[in-house]
Amino acid sequence: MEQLCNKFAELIKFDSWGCYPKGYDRATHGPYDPSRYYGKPDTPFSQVKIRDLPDWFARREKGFKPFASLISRAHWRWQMRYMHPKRGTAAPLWQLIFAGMTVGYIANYARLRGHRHYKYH
Amino acid sequence: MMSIIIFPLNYWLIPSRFNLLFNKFIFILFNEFSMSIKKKNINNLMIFLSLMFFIMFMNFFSLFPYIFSSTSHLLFNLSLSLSLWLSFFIYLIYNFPINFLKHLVPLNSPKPLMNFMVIIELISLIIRPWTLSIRLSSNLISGHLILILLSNFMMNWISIIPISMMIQNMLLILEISMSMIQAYVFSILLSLYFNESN
Repeated sequence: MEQLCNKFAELIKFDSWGCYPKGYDRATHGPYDPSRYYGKPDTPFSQVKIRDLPDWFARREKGFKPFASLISRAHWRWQMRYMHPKRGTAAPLWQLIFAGMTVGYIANYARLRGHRHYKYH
Repeated sequence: MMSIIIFPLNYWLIPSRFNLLFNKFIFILFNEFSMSIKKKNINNLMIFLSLMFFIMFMNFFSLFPYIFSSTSHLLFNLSLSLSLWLSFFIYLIYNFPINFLKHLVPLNSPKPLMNFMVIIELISLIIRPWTLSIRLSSNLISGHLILILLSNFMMNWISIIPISMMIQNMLLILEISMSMIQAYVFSILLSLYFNESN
C-alpha cells in the first residue's frame, strides 16, 4: 500500500506542489506571475501553422502536473483579465452564463431537438 | 463548479469591483447571521454562509435557459437540509437529552393537552427539513412555471407582446430577487435550528 501511495505521489509529482515552477528565477523574471508560463519559450499556439502542429504537440510536456498547471494558468489569465481589473465589468458573469447555457444545450440536445414539434410544452 | 470559477481571488492590494462587492456582501451577511447564532459557535457560521452562496448561485443560474435547475428538485434540497438537520438533531439528542425532552412540552401548557403537545412538537421538529426543501423547490418551480406560461401566451398572442414583455421583465426581476431571498431563508432557518440544538 505504501509503495502504491509513493508511486502515485511520484506520478502526480506531489513534492513539487505549491512550489514555484522550475524555470522561474526571481532575479531575471521579477515578481511571480501565476498566469505566465516560465518554461522554455516556444511558438504561441495561435501562431502555429497546421503542418507544424504534430511537432509542436510532441515538444509539449505531458502528464498530470503540466496539465494541472496549464488549467491553473488559464484560470489565472482569465481572472487577471476579467475579474481583477480595478474597474471590471459584468463580462465574466455573462461569459459564465453563456458557457453554462451552451453546455446545458449540448448535454440535453437529444431531448430538446423534438421540442419544435410539440404542441404543448 | 461554476461558482468556484467566478469566486474572486485576492491578488492585488487594491481590490477589484468584484472583490469589493463580494467582501461587502459577505460582511453584511456575516453580521446578519451572527445575530442568530450564539457567540461561542460563531466559527460554524461559515457553513451557513457558504450554503447560502451555493444555493444562491444555483438559483440564479437556473433562471437562464438550458441551465439545469437543481434547486427546484426535492432530491437535491432534501439532501442538503436533511443531512444538516439530522446532524443537529443527533447532536441535540446525544448531548442534551433532557433539554430536548423538556422542549416537547411548552411552558404553561394545560395538563390535558400535554400528550398532544408532545406529538405536535415532535411532528413540527421532524417536518423541518421537509418544509425547508419543499419551500425552496416550490418557490423556484412556481417562478419558472409563470415565466414559461407567460412566454407561451406571448407566442400565441403576437399583438400582446409589448405588454407581456414588460410583465415578464418585472417577473424576471422578481425571480432574481427571489433566488437570493430563498437562499437566505434556507440558510438562516438552518442556522436557527443549529442554534436550538446546542
